[in-house]
Amino acid sequence: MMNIIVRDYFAGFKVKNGTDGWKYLAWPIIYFLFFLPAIDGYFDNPVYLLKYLSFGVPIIFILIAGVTHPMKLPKMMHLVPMTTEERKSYITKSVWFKIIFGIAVGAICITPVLLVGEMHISVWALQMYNFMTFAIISSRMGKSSNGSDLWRGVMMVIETIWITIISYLMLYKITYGTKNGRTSVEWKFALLSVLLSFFMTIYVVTDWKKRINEAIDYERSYSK
Amino acid sequence: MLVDLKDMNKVLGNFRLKDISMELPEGFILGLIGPNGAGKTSLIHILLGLYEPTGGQVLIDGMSYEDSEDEIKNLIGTVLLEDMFEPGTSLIKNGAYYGSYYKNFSMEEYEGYLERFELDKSKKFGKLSKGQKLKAQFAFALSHHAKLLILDEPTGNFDPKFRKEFFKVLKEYIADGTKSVILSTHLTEDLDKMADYILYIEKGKTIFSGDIEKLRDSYRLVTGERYKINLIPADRVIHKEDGTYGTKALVTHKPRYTYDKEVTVAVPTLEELMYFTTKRRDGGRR
Repeated sequence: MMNIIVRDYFAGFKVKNGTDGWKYLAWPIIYFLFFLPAIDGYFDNPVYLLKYLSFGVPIIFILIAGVTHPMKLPKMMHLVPMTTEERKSYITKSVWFKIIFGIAVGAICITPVLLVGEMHISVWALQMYNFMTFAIISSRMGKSSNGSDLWRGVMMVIETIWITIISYLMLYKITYGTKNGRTSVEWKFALLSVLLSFFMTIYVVTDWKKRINEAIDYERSYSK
Repeated sequence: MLVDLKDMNKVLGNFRLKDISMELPEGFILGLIGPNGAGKTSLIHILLGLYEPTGGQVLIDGMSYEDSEDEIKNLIGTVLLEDMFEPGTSLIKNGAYYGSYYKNFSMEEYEGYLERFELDKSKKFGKLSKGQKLKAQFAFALSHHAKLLILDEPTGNFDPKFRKEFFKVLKEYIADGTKSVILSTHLTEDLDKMADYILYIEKGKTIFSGDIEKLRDSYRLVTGERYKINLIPADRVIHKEDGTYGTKALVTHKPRYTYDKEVTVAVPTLEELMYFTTKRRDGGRR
């Protein structure tokens, strides 16, 4: 089954499978890739820009994967010969693959920055934690079975504010050296981000079972 | 029996399918008819295992979805009005992708049907017209040797040339006597020619379920002067309508019934049957 899951994951970026969340991606793509770097002056310095993108690109990737890979089976998958348990296994493994792949993309992007000495290990660890929690939280980004867009809207607002603050404070240290100690303000923001994402992650994870059971049930998944 | 429904009930919001029963043996075509909103598509979703019935029995080839979901789904080929394939993927890749789930899927046959239906296998599904999409789904349904084909109103989207081809393929499909077809359609003249069984539902309830010949034997369309039609006992009259040249009435019939020599008596088509029955239920004059 894993080869099918991997195949479906990469095919999911190309096809429209009931997702309509691209409108939610326009804002973060524009904001994180153009607006924020512009106001912080990163476009003036390619090195700073690359360091910022090492963090920003995985976030955008995780967001896109979250939107294009909803926790919902295509209709045809409800018709092909699969038992309910197989369907559940497929969806569960698909979600985990999506999360792990997102974290891997994040690791690939920021680890080189650490290895060349342009990032403190604590910042690297915090960013990896952010990628992990963000990947888990965004697993709910796709069009849900109940059609609710509230979660996505709320998440967009929270992520925008949170990531702006954290990326600015963390990257401030990245761009202006890695030897200085953390200020208490930065540590408080770091702790706030850790706690915020922790509780959001717990909320999403505890809701997974319900979401997966909805996803494997055609009637609940596609009811109007 | 390939399909065996007994007193099947399903509640869908404010709508209810109530006590639906039907039997379909192997080697026959069942026409599923009814006005818009009758519950035909909901019934099809239950037969496909997409909806779970609230009560009653649903057996496909003697198996229930509770115990043998994957086995049943391997037996069924379907064409639904909704787009089932991935729009950004070619027909050939869609076939390969979903065909891999079926035990008896034949890529060679799939490509053969695509060619027969004049479809470009390299074209993306999303780029096809509605009729072409249905043809592609039909080609796929035929290619995994399903025992039961369930088709939800595909014929309205086919051009006249392909409609002939479609029914020719269906006849070939059931020719060996081991497979059956459930065809939901508003084009009842096709069912008049082809169907062996009819399930007529309206507002979630069964109006008729059984052999089409039995259905035909149970009703007559009587045309004549109004006063002649009025002589028919009221309890036999389903509905009557005054026209320019006389009155037409749909009446129940038994072999022993006789009719006035001055009226014309004909076996109603399915369309006429549905029309008059619906009129009666809409509160038309009897």
